[in-house]
Amino acid sequence: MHTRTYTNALRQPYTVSHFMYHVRNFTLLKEDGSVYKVPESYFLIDHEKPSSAFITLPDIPAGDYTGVSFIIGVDSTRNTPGVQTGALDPVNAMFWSWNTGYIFVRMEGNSPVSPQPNNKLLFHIGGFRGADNCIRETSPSLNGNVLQAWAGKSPEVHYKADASKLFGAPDQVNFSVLEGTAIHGGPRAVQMADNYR
Amino acid sequence: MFKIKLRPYWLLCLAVAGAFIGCDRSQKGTEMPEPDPYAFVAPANFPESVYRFQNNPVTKEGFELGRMLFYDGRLSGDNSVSCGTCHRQTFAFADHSHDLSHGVGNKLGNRNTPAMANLAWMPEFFWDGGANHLEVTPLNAITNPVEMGETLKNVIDKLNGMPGYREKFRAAFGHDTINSQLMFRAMAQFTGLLVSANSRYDRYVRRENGVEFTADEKEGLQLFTANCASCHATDLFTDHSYRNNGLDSDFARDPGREIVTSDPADRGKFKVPSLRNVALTMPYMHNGQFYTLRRVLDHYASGVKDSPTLDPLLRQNGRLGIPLTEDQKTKLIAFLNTLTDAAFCNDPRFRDPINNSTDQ
Repeated sequence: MHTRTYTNALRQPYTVSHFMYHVRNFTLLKEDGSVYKVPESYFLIDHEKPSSAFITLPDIPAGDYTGVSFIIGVDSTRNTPGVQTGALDPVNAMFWSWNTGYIFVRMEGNSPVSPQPNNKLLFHIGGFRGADNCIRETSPSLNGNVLQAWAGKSPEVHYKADASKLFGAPDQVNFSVLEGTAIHGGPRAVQMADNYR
Repeated sequence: MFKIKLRPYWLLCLAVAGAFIGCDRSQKGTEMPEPDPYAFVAPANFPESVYRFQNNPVTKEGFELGRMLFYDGRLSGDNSVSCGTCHRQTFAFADHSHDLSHGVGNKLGNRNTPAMANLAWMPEFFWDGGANHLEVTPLNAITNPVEMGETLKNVIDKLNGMPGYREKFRAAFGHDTINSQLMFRAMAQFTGLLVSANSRYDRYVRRENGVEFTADEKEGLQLFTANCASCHATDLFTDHSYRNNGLDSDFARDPGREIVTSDPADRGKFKVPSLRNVALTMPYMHNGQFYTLRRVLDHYASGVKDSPTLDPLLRQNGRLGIPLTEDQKTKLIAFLNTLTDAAFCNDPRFRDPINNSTDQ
């Protein structure tokens, strides 16, 4: 964060100052095809706060799990009931006040090719209605590993969240044009959300 | 990188000792209770409210706390601008004589401060409908750099640093650790109780105390029903829709509802405002461009500008606008004056408790 330089799909360099996202609705898959859905729980991962990137899912039924899926983004019903607490507290600055709803993924930084003041990059991906919907489910591979959740065992999964995936493909984001430097929901955010997988 | 840890549950044997405690509902007196000034009461001539306080029951302590927050400049970046700075009770919580809102550091907003009344019946807020819930609405004004210019985190930190506020939150909600949910719920108890339904118009339609309209007011009401009530509908005087009412033919400076929906079909559309207390809430329109009701009616009669998203009701029979004679305008204004609710604008429950005055 801040100092390390990354490159997007167009080989344009950038640095990251904020990288935060909402994840929820973890589902665990067993070898026999049965699933366990973790009761509704929201997590806000903020790469500025390492502890937030460590999620504990308690009270998992004992068993061998071969797959994990989860949702990036906040359910439509949680975008409309007023002010909430915890991971969904608007104090976390992941909430739009000009168009009520959550920012699901917030990535901000700088790129020397950005025409914005201070070479800024600002991507606020969110939107829960109709064509603006940026809620995506993802099932990152466990690479054949089995999570053995039995009494006395607390298996850990380590995921790598690659911010560069946000910028392509399939939707390549060009930091050298204004349209590719600042996004606040809307159709461009939907295209970027399709890059998650 | 983020990590997930799965923690299995252990076999637990819980001996649950259940004790049922009988509720002794001892008899209370059957005398009629005093009217509760902190109860949310829906007027008989209103439709069903949208905000119903299910998760936020109004109490005296919660309402008073919300009132204190509404009038406290410490919710702004330089501690100088409160909600009540622009939303002034004397003028039905509009900003009299200011076409655009004034924020911290004398910054100018880009829209007119809307009047506040009957907010519990509103499904969305702001000229473009950008807020979808009564509780989240103040967040925009607090964080907007040209309005109150503060972060939510700083506001919560400031409040937690004030023992007086912690005590008030404890009294209202049982917690003295202040979070944004409690703050916004307290504010919603105050703003949700801003019910204006005691104008002469209300007493006339509810047939209270033999209130009668003058001949001009009656004719004005008929003209209103025929020409205005399709948008300014029900006794809330809005159908909650967004429409382009022909103020301009180009909306590049403020595209209105399109900002929220990203839909070019919404360009230049703004919320149909309630007309409650409209005689007090000048200037008018989202940009405050008209300073009198007559200028507003002049606009509808002869000033409407065409554009692709102009409301079809303002383009009928091959002409723009709503045909109105000068005499009809006079009668419409006579009717609009009956929507002024003096009791609402002077209600001591809604006054500034800090400066204890609603004077300018």
